[in-house]
Amino acid sequence: MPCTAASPQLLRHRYPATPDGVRSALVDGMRKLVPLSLSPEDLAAIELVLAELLNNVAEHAYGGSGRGELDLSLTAEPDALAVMVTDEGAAMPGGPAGPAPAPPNPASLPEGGFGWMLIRAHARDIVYRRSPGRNRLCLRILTGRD
Amino acid sequence: MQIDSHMSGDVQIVTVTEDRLDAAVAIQFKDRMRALSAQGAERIVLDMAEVRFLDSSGLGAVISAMKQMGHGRRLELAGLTPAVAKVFSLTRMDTVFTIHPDTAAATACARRAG
Repeated sequence: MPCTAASPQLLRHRYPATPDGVRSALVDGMRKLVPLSLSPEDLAAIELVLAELLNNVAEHAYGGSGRGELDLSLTAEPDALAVMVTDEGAAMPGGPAGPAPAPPNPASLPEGGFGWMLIRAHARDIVYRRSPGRNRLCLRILTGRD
Repeated sequence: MQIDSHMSGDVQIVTVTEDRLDAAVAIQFKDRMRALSAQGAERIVLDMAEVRFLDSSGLGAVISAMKQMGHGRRLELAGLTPAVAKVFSLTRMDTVFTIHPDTAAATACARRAG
């Protein structure tokens, strides 16, 4: 399971749940992946999924308030990167375990609703758990399949 | 947020000279694009060759910029890097935008059409 991996942990750190905090988390995370020598496609998928996850926390769990923190951990598995994000913000309505919403219709020129679509395109084993005052989201991004 | 703009014939070329178009700059991008499109060019080509990373907020901002253009005016894209092109294809927004390999192709296309 992504949340109980015994594999080497690459990163575990807390960041402010702000756009700049998210950028810092992405810079740190991507730097920690360098020794894994992943393909450009894998790295692009990972950076995108992490950005969407962390921006969701900043914009939805904390409502874009600029307050609050998130905790990002990355663990290298033989054929995947396991990701865990926790925060102390509001619960995710519905949660990713529910049915996937219909993807936005391109012809209607939607300006949002793409985040989970992009996460789902690249991630597996998505598990969300709400405990009192805390969100925890775990997933895996498969690597080395190109 | 660094954005440059110049005219190439009738076409306004707007170049994003940042390597990330993401949640941290999405609002600034929309504001800059609103000001630039107010200059009135009928056709704007957004050169994204320097943008290495686009997230859903950045994508939303590009779509918003197209909607700001209004009737009879067009926002087209050029120079999508692989990771950026992937976001457009996964969301199927590549079916909505005219996408050129680079700005030279975009302006050549204008000359042919004219």
